[in-house]
Amino acid sequence: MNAWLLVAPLGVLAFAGLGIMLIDAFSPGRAELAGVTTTALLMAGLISVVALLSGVDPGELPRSLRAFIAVDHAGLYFDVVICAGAALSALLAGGYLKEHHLERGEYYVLLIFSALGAMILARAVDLITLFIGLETMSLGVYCMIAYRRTSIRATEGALKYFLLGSFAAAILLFGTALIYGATGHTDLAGIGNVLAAGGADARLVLLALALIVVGLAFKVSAVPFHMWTPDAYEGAPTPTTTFMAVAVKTAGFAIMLRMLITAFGDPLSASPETGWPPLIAGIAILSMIYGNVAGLAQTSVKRMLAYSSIAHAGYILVAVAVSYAAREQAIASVLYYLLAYTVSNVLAFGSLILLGSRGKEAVTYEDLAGAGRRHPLAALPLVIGVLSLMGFPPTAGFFAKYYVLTTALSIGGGMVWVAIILVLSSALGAYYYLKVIVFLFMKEPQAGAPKAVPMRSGYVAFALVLAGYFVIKMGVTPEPYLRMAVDAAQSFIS
Amino acid sequence: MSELLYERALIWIILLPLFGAILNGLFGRFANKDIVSALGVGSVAASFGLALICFAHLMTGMGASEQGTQIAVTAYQWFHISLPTVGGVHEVAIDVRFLMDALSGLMTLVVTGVGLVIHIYSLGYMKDDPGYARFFAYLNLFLASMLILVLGSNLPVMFVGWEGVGLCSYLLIGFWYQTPEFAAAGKKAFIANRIGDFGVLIGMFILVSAVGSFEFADINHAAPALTQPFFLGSWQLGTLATAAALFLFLGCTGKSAQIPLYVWLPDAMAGPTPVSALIHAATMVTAGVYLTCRLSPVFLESPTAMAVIAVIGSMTALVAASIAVAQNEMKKILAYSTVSQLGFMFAAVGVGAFSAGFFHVFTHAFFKACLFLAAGSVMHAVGSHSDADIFKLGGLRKIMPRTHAAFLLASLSIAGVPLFAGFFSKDEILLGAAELAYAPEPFSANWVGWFVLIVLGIAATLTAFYMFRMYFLAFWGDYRSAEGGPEAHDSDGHHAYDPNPHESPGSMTWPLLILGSGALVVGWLGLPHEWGLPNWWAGWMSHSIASVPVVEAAEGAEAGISLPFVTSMVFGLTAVTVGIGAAFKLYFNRSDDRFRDAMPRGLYQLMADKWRVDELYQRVLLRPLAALAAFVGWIDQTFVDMLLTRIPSQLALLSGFVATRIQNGRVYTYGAVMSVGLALVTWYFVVPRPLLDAETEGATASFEAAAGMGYAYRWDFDSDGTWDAPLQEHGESFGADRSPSHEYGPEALKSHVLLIAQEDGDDARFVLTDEPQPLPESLLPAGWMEDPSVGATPPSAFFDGERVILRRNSAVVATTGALVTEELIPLSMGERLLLGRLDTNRTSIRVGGLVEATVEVENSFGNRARQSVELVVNVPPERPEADAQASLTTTRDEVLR
Amino acid sequence: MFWEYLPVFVMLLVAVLVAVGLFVLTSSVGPKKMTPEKAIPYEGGSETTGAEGLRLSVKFFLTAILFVVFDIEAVFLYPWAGLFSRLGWIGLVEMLVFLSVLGVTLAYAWKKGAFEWEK
Repeated sequence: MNAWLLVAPLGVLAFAGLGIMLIDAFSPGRAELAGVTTTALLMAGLISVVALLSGVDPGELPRSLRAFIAVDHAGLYFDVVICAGAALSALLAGGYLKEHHLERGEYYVLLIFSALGAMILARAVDLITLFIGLETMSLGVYCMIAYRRTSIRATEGALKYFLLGSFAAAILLFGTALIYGATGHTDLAGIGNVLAAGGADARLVLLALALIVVGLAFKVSAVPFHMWTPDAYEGAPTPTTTFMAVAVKTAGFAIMLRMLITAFGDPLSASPETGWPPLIAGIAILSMIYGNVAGLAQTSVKRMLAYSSIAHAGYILVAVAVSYAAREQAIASVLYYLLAYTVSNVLAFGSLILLGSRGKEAVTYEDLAGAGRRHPLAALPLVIGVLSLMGFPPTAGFFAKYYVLTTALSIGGGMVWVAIILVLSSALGAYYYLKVIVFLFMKEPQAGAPKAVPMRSGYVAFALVLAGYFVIKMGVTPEPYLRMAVDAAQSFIS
Repeated sequence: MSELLYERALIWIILLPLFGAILNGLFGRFANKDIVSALGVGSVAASFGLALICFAHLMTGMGASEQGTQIAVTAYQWFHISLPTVGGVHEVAIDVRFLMDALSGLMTLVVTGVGLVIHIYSLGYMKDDPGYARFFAYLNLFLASMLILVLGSNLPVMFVGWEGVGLCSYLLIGFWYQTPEFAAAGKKAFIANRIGDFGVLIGMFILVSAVGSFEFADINHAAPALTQPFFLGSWQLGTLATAAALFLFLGCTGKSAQIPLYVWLPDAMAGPTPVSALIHAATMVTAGVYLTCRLSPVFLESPTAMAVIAVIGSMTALVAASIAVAQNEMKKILAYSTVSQLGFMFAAVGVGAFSAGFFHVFTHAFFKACLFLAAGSVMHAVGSHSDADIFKLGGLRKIMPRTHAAFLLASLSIAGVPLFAGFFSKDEILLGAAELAYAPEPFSANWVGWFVLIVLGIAATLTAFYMFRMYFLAFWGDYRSAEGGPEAHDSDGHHAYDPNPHESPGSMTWPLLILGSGALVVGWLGLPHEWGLPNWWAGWMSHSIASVPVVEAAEGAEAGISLPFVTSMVFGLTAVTVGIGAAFKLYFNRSDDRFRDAMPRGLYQLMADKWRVDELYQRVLLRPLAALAAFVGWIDQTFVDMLLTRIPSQLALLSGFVATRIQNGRVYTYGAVMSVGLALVTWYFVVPRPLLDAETEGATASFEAAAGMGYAYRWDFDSDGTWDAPLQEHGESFGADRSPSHEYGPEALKSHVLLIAQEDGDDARFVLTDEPQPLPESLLPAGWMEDPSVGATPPSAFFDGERVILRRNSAVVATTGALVTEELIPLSMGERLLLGRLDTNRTSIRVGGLVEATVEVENSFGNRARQSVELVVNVPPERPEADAQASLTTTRDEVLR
Repeated sequence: MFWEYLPVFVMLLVAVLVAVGLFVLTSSVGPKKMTPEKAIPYEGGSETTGAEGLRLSVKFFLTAILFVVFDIEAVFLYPWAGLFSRLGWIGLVEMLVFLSVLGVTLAYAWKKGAFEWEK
């Protein structure tokens, strides 16, 4: 096997993006762009899987490439997760945009380039690549949020995300500048070496660490850098929301792990008493509590899912916080969580899309009332999705939470309390997830209220079947996926 | 065919009914009836075919090699768990693995074969039911679960099936859920089963913690080692094998309807008749017997458990048979008959005749399924939905010839008439009991053998009696519900039954005849060895079931007539003759209940009322439980609801408040929150945190302050205001040492303390001054006084400038071994005294020195933080060692004198 | 270092002085006579309606963006041309990739009508 397989997913997406642009320009409205986009993304994901399994030696790639782009198993794993999330989002878009008369080619171009950016970000091993990936990803997402131009909410959400995102990017950029100033390196491994040798000004390093943590916490929507999340999630077209919740978040966590472990992994930066671990744990606690408490008060399911995504960021951060000690286990549980979260979220958002045909959309709990009894087959994926997000066995979400929990408990000490908060706050979260099921099956719509009518779309149905299959599969036989995650985690550390 | 193909086939045996269930369950509503039928019956037929192929392969393999072969396939690796076991924490693999050997193979044949026949029967029986597709979906799901139970090669997989059949049974009993009693019967079955499942789970965990594996093969292999004692906390409860076997048996009493959990089975007959036949007679209820056979080596390790099983099994057989004698409704009689026959099986297991018990499972499946279906056919014929009172029937022999023939065959079989299947299997059981009864030492459980033999003898007599009572009343004489007959109208003047009954359609009668002929012939698989006939059954079973040595010895003996064999034959034949003879005498061509009239009224009533066991449970268990439930409900409403509804609603309100204040939709607010967050994060890094931790060992304390980037430390070990480390002239500089040790001298002590050990393991500190202060009573143990009746002052203590003096007052003080009677007790540092009367829990008191250490941390931003910690150290006195020792000794001598 | 960059600073200074000086000159030298007619905002001789402030068609921004894109191309091309012989084949291939990507975007913009002023 040729070592270029390791970077082929990126190339495939780049060419596919250009190709879709040309198709859209030269035969507007005729091609099934959703299908093409999904195919390209799935192909890229498949190549990653093949590369993961074939054990190619990355040494054959030119050094100039390896210095900027990670060619390890972790990178490929993130490729798989991001491609899967993006492909499923594209499928959802295929149904959603048509139903709501928004079908234009740009969406898929933006989606595919955003996914490319996310993959670059997840594979960044250099501050330069990091920033390029971040901006490639974010610019596309800004446009995808504002895609429904006539909607005030959409443009408002996009503008807010854009303004705050620029703010966060500036903070991050400043942080990277400081760390470069302190260590004289832009590559993460080089930074790590200098820090481990103790050859950097502690003031610069600490400030840089603070700024970088804040910049990345923004991207994964952790409290208190989450403020944009509910507005952007609610305003965006649902496929965009899905993409943000799965691909953007995955890339955010990927680069966060790379930063914290590769660059700031020295014993002093990662000191369990004064370094980033307690800080991340604190952010995790805030996110878990705020996400779940605020989720209780929501009347819109989409907004509820936004808060739920904040809470989930908190759960994942718990595992990130302990990655200084139980490295392999902690990283593996983050990776597993991201995959599980991706498929569960697609299921939840996807069935919201499916349940709303044009003019009869399902956004609030009230809209869902009785829908489960009127359209059981359309409501089933939503039920499975929220159960998985809730962490109910046998779904993917259960094992995701279980692994994070056991990792935290294996550290002991203060992390036991964090684990307790995790359990308690997710018990609180069960309230609003179950509310979905209650409304679906046990409530009747109020007289005269519009009733949600499911749309008919092969794309959406296909996405739901795929995601549903994996949610159940990962809940019944988690072992192979966990093994993949552990394998990727090992490549991370070495 | 290669092994691989058989392995694939094994998986498909399970998957086919499962797919049938899924397809019918999801889409059956929309499909037409023919498709549903084809799916339901076809999948089971295919599964049966595959089972036959696999079993045939197995048989040829058995002939070829001594060990016998098995087909095993690991479908996939489910997951690993870390479990604490006797030999330390083990990674225990839980694989989804299936195994077919002689035992599970035969069971698979019964399940799919009888299942197929009953499916075909249901085509006719359920023809007009609106829940047709649902019924077949449930039935297929049941078969899939049952096959998982049977074919699973380890306990967890078996348990999946175990729970699955329980669920299906619940769903099918309550199939006509619109009728409240039927739904209640479903619930009753579910609860009784849950109690049992709890036992299975515990048994399972005992086994895995002892063996470290869930696989049946591993457990059976390790069974001889299970004779270690089983501890629950500090109580010893028999051996591991006994505990595991008894808990598993508890599960079996639930699933297989034994005393005390049998009460659900008769009620379960509320479900459609094919369900009664398949689940509650032929297959599911025998799962308990199957499990004991599967784990026979474990059971054999525990004579106690075996005796318990034998006694409970035979008692169940007797009690249920006595109830059946006094019932009038066909399905009720058959239900109690099932309970009774299950009792026979467990009695067999209990005397160690596993093979005989399982043989009875096999034959019972045929004749009992046949009887139930025949009863269903009768009900169908007379147009009744849920009952068939034998006193309102009669003469059906001529009206329904095929049903009659099948019913007669099955009745002869269950009664144990020679050459019929029931005769051979029942006789094997009696033989097992007789062999145990006559067993020479050291198998000293002879009384169990006699007990089982006699009780089963009576039960067998009753069996023959009630079966033929039912047969004569229902099929001979005249049809009593005919127009103008004595029972044509019930008390309200309605037609009780159709006055013109008719034979059921072919799809119902042919299955009956198949099963009926099965009831005749399947017994020939296990012809008695003693007649010099081939006993194929025992041969097959020897590959998968362990047996007691005594039975083994008997089986290995020369063919011939032995004493146990004669005894068992006498018991068996007497039972048949007496039972059928009595029934003939009392009921042949008659319509009145002469048996009832002959019995003492009270006793008969008691039997008819099922010994009032339900009422007993109601009074002893359910009412207190209901009271408890009411109490818990009150707790739930008062406290739990507060936690679950009020607190969330308050939180929701609160978060709504937060949302309106912070999440107000304005970008500048959002930006401000982010900035605050950034400021907090920066603050976190800019402010240093010492997080001082210390440990003492004698006079030495070792410290550890937090590591941090750019941190520098300085130490003041005695908190006297001057920095001790790093040693600097001007006391201003910081060093990198974050974990120094320091040895304290007497001059560093702030004061002396008494350390009083507390019950929670910590020491309470009592700081001493120059003035004597009484020790607070809360720190002292309960029995510190000499004489509680007099009233007392607690001891007091002070520091006289040189040493600590304890004034005893009225407390009991001792050194190790001797009481101290002196009033003033000098204590040097580290010395230990005991406080409290001898017979109560004592507390130790010792003297320590209190020191305070301080660390200051400076980080690279120039910010500093300081933290102090108080420590108790054990500093020796300043005087020369010998001197101190001498003075101490003198004091001690004075004190003790 | 300062002396090396002195010419640059001088040039900056001159540029600032010229710009500021011209403003100062026009406002101080020219005559100022304020009349009411001169004080009202002027809009094509008719009464003022709507909000004041300059509104530009989005087309201008589009053109500006396109200009920037191709301007950047030039920024890349010049140093590349200067170092062409040292970069060798790889440099050529990389620039071709860059140019073809740009070409695709050009084609896209063209087909989407970005260059049509009137539509």
